[in-house]
Amino acid sequence: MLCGAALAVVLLLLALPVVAILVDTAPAALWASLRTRESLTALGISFAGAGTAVALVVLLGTPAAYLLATTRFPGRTAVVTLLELPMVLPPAVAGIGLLAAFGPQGLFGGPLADAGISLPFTFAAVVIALAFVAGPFHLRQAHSAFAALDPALLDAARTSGARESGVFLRVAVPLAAGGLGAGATLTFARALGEFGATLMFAGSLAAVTRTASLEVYARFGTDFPGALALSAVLVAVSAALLLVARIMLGRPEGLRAAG
Amino acid sequence: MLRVDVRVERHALALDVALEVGPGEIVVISGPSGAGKSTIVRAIAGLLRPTAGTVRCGERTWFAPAGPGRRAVDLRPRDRRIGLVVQEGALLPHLSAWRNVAFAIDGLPRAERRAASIDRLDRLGLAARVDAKPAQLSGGERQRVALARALARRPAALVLDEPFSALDAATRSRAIDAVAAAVRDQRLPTVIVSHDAGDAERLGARTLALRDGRLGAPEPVQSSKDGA
Repeated sequence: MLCGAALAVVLLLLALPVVAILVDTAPAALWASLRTRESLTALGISFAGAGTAVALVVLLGTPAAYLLATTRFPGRTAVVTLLELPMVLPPAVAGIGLLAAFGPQGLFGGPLADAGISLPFTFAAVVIALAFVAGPFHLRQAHSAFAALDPALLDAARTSGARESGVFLRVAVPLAAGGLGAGATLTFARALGEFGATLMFAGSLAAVTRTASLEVYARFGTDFPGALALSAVLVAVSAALLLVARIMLGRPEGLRAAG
Repeated sequence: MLRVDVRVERHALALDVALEVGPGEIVVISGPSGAGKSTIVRAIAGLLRPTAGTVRCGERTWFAPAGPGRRAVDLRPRDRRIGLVVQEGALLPHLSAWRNVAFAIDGLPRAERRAASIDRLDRLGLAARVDAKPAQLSGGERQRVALARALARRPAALVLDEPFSALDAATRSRAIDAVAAAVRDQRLPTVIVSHDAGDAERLGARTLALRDGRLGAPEPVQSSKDGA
């Protein structure tokens, strides 16, 4: 009874804002404001940025997570913690960190400038910010998927003649596919919602770095219905992505591992 | 000829084992669980690095420490050409039976790999099961697929870790016969780890008991004839 009441309150608190976004938007108004060039451009930047970030994260993060999950070395826990840190950092701190690393005055600013590269306020900066903030979701999911593999299967592949690359690509990756897919999906979802780090590191330049969530923020003072409509799209896409991640994991409680 | 002479010190385990197995000979290693039987298997297969010692097979050295005038040798599992079958088979669950066997075959074009794999399975009476996934196979079938995969490598030695323990009596005796036939035909030095003395009897194998980290003659105990 008590738990039922608690669930009702939780549902109200968590679901009400989401429902409000969807209810507050008349379908016709939503359609109209979505068809504006600004909205479509912002959505395009969001999807392209999140997609590129996910591709980078999957390509680099999957082998990294495999190594972390299947080898023991001193300081491994420290490395894992460090890699998961961006997930819980305040977005503003993440943004400052990125500027301190890759900004003009940052640690890598000099070398980058020498190479003629200036990252802040470019699309590349959007991708870096999204990968930085959302990447840990994939790392973490991939790590637990690889750690759950039966080592006997990896050994069987080795004694059957597979190289370490073959063990990874032909055995570990296919067997962990559900967790990897869920990790990539959650990363994409988190990247779509990213706001603070993108704003600080990439700015909010219309048609260059202004993602959908930045567009929502830019509009809410002047065009509340427009902001609502864009928000509704983000809600729908995020809900679909969460559902996909859940299905990929094949067990409802699996999402817990993703934090 | 497989010659193993290794020391392994890991955690609470201290092994010092010496073992020679001739072509076509089967040696059964028995001993209580936790004695380190699987550790010996892993050391032979190259899945675990011994603290000291040598592992040789035929003319080839699989493992040897550096010595005066020679470099250390520690071949990767894939370079040892060992046929390994572990308990429950460790078949790759995402691959069908024939693809599990094909996994171990290199140097053949893709199309021929399927035919060669099916041939291997056919020889173990599994012609009808080539497209089944491991989850659809019975325990005995899985074990035979694992044996087919191990033999498909054209191994220089065969090592089986508790290969029969998950099987019922009838399946078990068929699996034992399949192993005995393969060892005889290919003249493979073969090591079988088993906690059941009945297996050794049925295979006509020499038995060594692992006790206190060393291999020795087995204690004369009553063995169960049927091995079930």
